[in-house]
Amino acid sequence: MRILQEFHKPPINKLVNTTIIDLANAPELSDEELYRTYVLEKDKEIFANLFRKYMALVFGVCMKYEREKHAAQDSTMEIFERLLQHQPERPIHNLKAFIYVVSKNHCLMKKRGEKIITLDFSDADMENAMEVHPIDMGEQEVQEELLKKCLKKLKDLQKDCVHHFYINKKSYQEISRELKVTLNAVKSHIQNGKRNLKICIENEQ
Amino acid sequence: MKHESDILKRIKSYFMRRKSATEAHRFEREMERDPFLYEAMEGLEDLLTSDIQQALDELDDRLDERSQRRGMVFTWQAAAIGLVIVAGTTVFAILGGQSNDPDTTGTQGDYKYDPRTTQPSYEAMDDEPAYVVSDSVEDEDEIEPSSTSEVEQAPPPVEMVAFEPVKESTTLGGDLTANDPLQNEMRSSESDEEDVEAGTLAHTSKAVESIAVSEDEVSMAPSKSLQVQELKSKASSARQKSESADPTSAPEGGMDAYRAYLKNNLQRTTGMPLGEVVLSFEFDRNGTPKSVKVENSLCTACDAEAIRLIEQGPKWNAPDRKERVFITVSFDR
Repeated sequence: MRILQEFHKPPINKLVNTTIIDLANAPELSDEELYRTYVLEKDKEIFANLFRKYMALVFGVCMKYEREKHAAQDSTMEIFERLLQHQPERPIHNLKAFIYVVSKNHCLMKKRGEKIITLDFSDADMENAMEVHPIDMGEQEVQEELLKKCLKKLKDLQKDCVHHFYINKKSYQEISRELKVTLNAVKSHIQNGKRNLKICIENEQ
Repeated sequence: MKHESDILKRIKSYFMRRKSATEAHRFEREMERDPFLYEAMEGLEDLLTSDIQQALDELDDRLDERSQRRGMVFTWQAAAIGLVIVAGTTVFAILGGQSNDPDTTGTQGDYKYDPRTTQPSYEAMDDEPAYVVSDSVEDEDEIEPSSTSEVEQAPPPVEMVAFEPVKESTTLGGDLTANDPLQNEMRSSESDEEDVEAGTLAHTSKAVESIAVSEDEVSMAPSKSLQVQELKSKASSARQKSESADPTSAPEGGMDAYRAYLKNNLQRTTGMPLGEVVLSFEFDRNGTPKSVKVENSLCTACDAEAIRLIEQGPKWNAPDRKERVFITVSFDR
């Protein structure tokens, strides 16, 4: 444990030198910089204000797994507490991804009745969690062709839904009205369609 | 406390279908790109937007409490230590006073006893209504109302300390009418106590407490007890105060405007008795009064009306949100 602490000393010192903490004169700090400030200064209010920015999302994720308002509120507070007690061992590059991974992990573990052991997720964990589907990325010509090719291979409703959503730029509701399926069906068709697309693209490459 | 954030605004406007189809589509594209948002939307779509807002408002308050709790604990600890010390010295002082040994009590009182500052306060008190207050204090602490008592008998330390707040309240009250509680309060909060060391303040708080009790007994003007409570709250957070430069809370637009607001917006219903309601409260992040407490009740309807006035009233500039502010709402005419 001691070795670990010693090992992590230099980067923290480095942080002190590189971050000039003057909140009044630099109000445009990024969330990650603010988080670093909080880690250095241990000012709970800085973190509370950061957490507020994402609280609606955290609460939403808790709602998804808890299905009950008060339980979801409690979970949100638990996540806040966990984040507050957490001593990050490496700098956080993407605070939103970090909060997402922690929130989702907390809710899943709680649901399974397991104890949550660590909050130290690697960057890879976060990247995985926030992975962007090729179809959601910017237009890249090679992929565009691949996408079109794979799109044709999709099953009827999945193809229609993905096509309407990404090519015709229609909203869920418009698609649901047009294809006479429920809104949730539209969403799940898009999700499944995207998954199949991804598999197809990976096979083609 | 109303929770606001950029993302909540957009989620709400999406749910409330305020957006056009293209805007809705843009939001949905973002959902598809951002799994955090997507999962959150899956969870939130079962709730009404008003429920979401309410749930987040409540969370906001809990977050406020949580991120400040350590400070609170510290205050309580400081207050507890102060109380123990006060209790100890009081017992010691009373015992010393009864034994009537001028030598021992004299040495104890020496470090705080300064007749030059305390004596004038006695004189000032003589033509003040607060005289009644000092009387009842003296009943408790066995002091003669005459100023010569100090010379005749070496005073125990607690008695000496007891003069300080009395002096303060009388000099402050000197140019004020009893119907002017708000200005009273403001004066008292302006009065400077920060230089006094924490120990002295702890003593003062005890002394003030005894005054407050006796005041209730003789039912003095509530404006006085208000001031006393203000002092009490100041003393209890003495250590925090000495660190921050100017922790005085003031309503936006100034005290005079606030007093006018209270006067003009008070809704009297028939059957309300004459009198005053004393309230205390703290502030949320925006300076809106929260956790309003009735310190001195008049009647149920009056209390409710007073709370309504405070809660719906102007915001405050509160540098120290955990400072409890005391306000008197008068129900006259």
